[in-house]
Amino acid sequence: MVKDRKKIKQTSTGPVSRRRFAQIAGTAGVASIAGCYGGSGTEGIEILGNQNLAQTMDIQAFYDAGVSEDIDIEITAGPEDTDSRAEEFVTLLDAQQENPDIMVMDNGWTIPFIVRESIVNLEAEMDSGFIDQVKSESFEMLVETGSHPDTGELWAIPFFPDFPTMQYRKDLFRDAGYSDSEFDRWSTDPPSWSEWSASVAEVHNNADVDYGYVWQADSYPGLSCCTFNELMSSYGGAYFGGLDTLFGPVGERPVTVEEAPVIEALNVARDMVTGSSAATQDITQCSPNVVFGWTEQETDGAFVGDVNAVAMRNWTYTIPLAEDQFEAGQELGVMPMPYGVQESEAAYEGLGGTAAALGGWLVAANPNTADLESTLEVLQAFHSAEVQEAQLNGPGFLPHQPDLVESLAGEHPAFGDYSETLRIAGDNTVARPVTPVWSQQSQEAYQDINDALQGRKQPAEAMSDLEGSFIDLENIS
Amino acid sequence: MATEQRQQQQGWNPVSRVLNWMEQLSEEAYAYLLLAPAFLVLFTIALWPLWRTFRVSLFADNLFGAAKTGGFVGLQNYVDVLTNQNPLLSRPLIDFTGGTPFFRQALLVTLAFAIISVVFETLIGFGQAYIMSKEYRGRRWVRVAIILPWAIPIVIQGMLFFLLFNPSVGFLSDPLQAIGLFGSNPLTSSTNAFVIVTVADIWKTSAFMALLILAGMQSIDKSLYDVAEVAGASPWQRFRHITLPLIFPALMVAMLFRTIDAMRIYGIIEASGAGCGTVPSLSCLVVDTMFGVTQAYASAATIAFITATIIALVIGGYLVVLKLSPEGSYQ
Repeated sequence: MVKDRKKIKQTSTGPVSRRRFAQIAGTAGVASIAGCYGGSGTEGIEILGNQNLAQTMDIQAFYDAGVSEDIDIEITAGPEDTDSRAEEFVTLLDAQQENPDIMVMDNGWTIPFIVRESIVNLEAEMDSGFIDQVKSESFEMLVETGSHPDTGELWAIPFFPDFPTMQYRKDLFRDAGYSDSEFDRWSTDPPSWSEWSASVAEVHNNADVDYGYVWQADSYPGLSCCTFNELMSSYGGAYFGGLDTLFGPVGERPVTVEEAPVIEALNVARDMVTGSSAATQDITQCSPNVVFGWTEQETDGAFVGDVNAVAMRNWTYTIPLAEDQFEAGQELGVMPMPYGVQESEAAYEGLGGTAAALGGWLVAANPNTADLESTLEVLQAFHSAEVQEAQLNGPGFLPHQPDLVESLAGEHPAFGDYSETLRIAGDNTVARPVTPVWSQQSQEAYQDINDALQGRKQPAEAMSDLEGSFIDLENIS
Repeated sequence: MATEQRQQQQGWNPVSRVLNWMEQLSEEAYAYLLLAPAFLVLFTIALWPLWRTFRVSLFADNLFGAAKTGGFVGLQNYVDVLTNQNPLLSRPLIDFTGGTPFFRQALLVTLAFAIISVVFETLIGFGQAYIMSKEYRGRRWVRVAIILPWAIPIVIQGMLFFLLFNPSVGFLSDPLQAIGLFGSNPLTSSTNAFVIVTVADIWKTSAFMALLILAGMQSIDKSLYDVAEVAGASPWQRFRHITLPLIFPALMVAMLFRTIDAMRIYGIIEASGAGCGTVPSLSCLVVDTMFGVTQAYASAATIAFITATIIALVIGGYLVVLKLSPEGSYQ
């Protein structure tokens, strides 16, 4: 009877018995779970950067700088987009992954990682003499963005700075009657925004190009951190008072976006596009209104790709691109950004004059690395002349030491003609006010600034709204 | 020793006992046993994260320390978000004071998008399904043309609309500006960009509605129409009294799917170049707050849980309508 019942059951459930099915399913399940825990990661030290770095950096430079030959170094490419890179690091660190050992971090978001203690405190792990050397020899603002805002301890080593310059078509200016004497003067002593806007408009009227001065005014982080930040600084304005309170203390620093220099900067930017004459200075209409939706990519396309604009504000990476792209008869000129008011006229010390937003990247150590000693050895090499020379000749990243910018960049085929200009621009950088709440403040800022530029809000109204948002975010702490 | 061997032979070790027990199960019980792991996984991946999200939303954000969240604050995050008192949100969820434009309030943007897109997709989908259901020469190509947008990846879809409305390269930007419908930079204006995103979604997803409605239409017994015709029913009466009631359950399911999807809108906003700052949806708020550098986990969890609750209410609404309607009661 029992035998018959088993026979019926076996038939009704198919050719595979229940016992056999449970065995196979159990084995397959265990094997699948085991597969999920398979090994990952690489031997040696992994540096996570971008494609350009991974493909063109000469690894030998690290060994020339003294890194032991026993340490294998591999550079891998993460997301190109800075926000995506930050998100990747957040995920990797949350998951306590051993790789990458070294992370290439944007100076715009390194401080939140430092404050959260997500990366290694280098000052606790490395020789104090070396730390002092890094602090004293690197661009000051780059060091500030790699240091803990409360303690001043260094948590990330500067890798390379970046800052915008004014790039323009010398050949078109020549056609309009400008000469080398002006170009030479501008290369170290840029004109005011009033003079520059008039010159660009004049050249544009005589030139066979669609656009005058192209820049980035889309509603995106680059507007608040950089394009508007530097324009505001050149007029003597700031988000949070002077440079002393740039990185905090959050909640205790003044919010100064309603002050006259900030409003003036908004009006200047708007006048350049609309010719509305809202600014107290005489600004000539010289930019197309498409810039209100443009980022770096579109401006590159117009000035470098299509060779279809008189002048462009952009980062140093576009200088070699323009040198490559321009044909015979098309000549590139580079100068520091024009100034709004003289430094002596600015209410806050260090503001006014030519100003360039500080971009750039730092290198930090992963606290979960399997080999902290080797990681720190490679990290130390980033401050060597050998590695800085290799990063200039390979991916085209400027040295993070001002002294090396002029000496090394002076011999570089693309940067050589502009090394003094680059040094001056680098010396006049202004960092974004990076704190743990800057990401949200930046978002509020670029939305209100873009609204004001596009005329959806009056500048005073936009800055009043922004002040309210900033104060709310400052009070979170 | 002999006893152990006998016990093993008799199936006294635990594995054998389980297998023996399994062998004795009825067919129905055995089926449930096989389904149990899948149910367990589904339960774990659906409800456990929801519970975790809710739990995180009861704590304060911690932006200045190593911990992911701060102290327990109960429902304060919900109060702050619903009263527009949370400064970490890039756009307000809803602003009852009226100080924020309509298209910059995430809840209103999401609801407006869901209602407008689902209504238009249903109407257009109906028309497309009707066309696809008819017999005529070249029908297969018409079907391909109707379904094609549904097959296009969201990134390509976004790029198409970006290229249409970008003022530098888009050929629709200038004419629409000339007749006063759009501004000079439509993708940077919240109102214009909302329209673009909605049209993009309708263009792509009407085909989905059409397919589900077509399935409903083709399940209708054709003899019902013959009888109605003999009885003198007009085309409208045939549609009103035969087609609509019989496809109503399928229509409600299709609308339910689309509404859930529309309430979660995010991809097309980013892919079209409009961006979350210009067209803030509920999902945008979660992404902006959760990811990137700020990592305001508690605020993001609060918005996420509110979004899930709203979607659950919408699903509930559909189910109630389906249950109460005579057409759906037999389901």
